[in-house]
Order: sequence, then structure tokens, then C-alpha cells
Amino acid sequence: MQPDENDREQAIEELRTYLVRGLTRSLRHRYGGKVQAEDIAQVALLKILDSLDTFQHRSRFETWAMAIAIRVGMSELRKRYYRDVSIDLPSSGNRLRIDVVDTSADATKDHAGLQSLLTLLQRMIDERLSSKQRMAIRGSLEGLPVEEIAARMASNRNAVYKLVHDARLKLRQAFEADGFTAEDILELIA
Amino acid sequence: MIAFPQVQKLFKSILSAVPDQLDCDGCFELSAQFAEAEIEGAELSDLLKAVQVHLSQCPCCAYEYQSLLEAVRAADSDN
Repeated sequence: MQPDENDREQAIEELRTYLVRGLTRSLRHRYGGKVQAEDIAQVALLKILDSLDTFQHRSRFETWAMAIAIRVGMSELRKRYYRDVSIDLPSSGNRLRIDVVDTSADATKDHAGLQSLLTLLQRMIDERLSSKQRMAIRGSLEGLPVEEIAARMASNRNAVYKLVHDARLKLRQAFEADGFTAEDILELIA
Repeated sequence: MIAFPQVQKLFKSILSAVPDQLDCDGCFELSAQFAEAEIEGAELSDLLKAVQVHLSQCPCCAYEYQSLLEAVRAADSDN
């Protein structure tokens, strides 16, 4: 082994040790924590070495490398955690139907106001959101991370985030245009 | 069918929606720099403020970021 190669091997080993230390502490309580930090570090190292030319020196190298390792680890944890979670996303064209709320037992509630708000929400969802937005919103309401929704929609994380975020903004603007303030809404749904 | 607790959650997410300049990959690219700024208590540039906005809108990135922060703190403190 040449001296340069020795240095490189030593640097990789130091980085591996650093990653394992952080991953061990951070991943053990995320999504059930059922991954080995050593395995994740090994996969992450390959990715880091492959991506060296994208390091822009905006942070320490170790922090940049840790960000990659965490993404690898969290992605693997999510996959395992949600593997057996069955949630039906509404298929294309299907409605995302809001359950009718029975507030009759609660005398403090503004029943008519709440029902008209929910009717309006249902109409806005039906008329203003695309079928993909309805699917993504359903996944999000079920607590699925965007990455998991993306896997189930055969899409990608960025696209699903945009679907959900645009839908929320669109609904917010629609409520504002209809004269509802945040305070009105929060009071009705409390 | 969306049950009422989910409707409440949906309304809260609607009301907290603000324009976001970043997508998840854009946030990830800046996450190491953002983590160091947070650890050092440094003032955020406009670019890093955009990360802060994205993290407030995307629970998936926020959870991943918390993991990064914990990992960096742990790895550095054991040095």
C-alpha cells in the first residue's frame, strides 16, 4: 500500500467511526430504530465517496457526510417501519370524503357553523384539488411521510411535497377568499 | 373518509401554510450548513431562513433534520 493510499484508508476509517457514533445515538429511537448503525454507515460511506465532487464547503465535511448518512438511515428505517402499514390512498378520480360530524351532544358548539365549514371544505377539496393532490393529502393525514407517500404513488419525494404544499396553500387562499379568518376556523373546529 | 380529528389536523396544516422556496432536496442540500448555524447560534442568512421555512412546512424533513442535529451533537461530543 502506498503512503497516499494509507492516508486515504485512515481518513475513511475515521469518518466511518464518526458516522457510527452519531448514527448509533440518533437512529435508535426513530421509527423503531431497527437498523445497525454500522450497516448504515457502510452504505452511506459509498454514497459519500461517490458524491465527493458535490461537497461545496458550506459546512464542515463531517457534518455534510453525516447529513448523507442520516438520510440513508432514515430512509431505510421508514421503509421497514411502513412496510406492513396498509393505508388505502384514494385512487385517481375518487372523492376524499369528509365524515359527517355529530356535535349534537356538545351544547357549546356552533353546529351550523361547523357543518357549513365542513361542507365548504368538502366542496373545495372536490373542486380545487387534483386527484393526485387528494391522494397525497390522504397519505399525509394518515401520518405517512412524504417519502412513503411517494413510494405508494410511484412518484418522488419532491413532487409529493409540492402536491401537498400547493394543496394546502390553495385551500388556505380559498377560505380567505370566502371570508373565513384563521380565528373563525380555529374556533369552529376546537 | 376523513374523520374529524384528521379534519382538525388538515385545517391546522392549511392555516399554517406559507410559501416555500425549497423542495425536500433543496432543504437537504443546506441541512448541514443549517445544523452548524443552529449549533453555533449563528444568525441565519436568507438562504438558511428558507430552510427554516421548509422545515416548518415539511414534517418529514423536520424529523430528518432533528436526527441530523442529534447525530452531529453526539458524534462531536464523543470526540
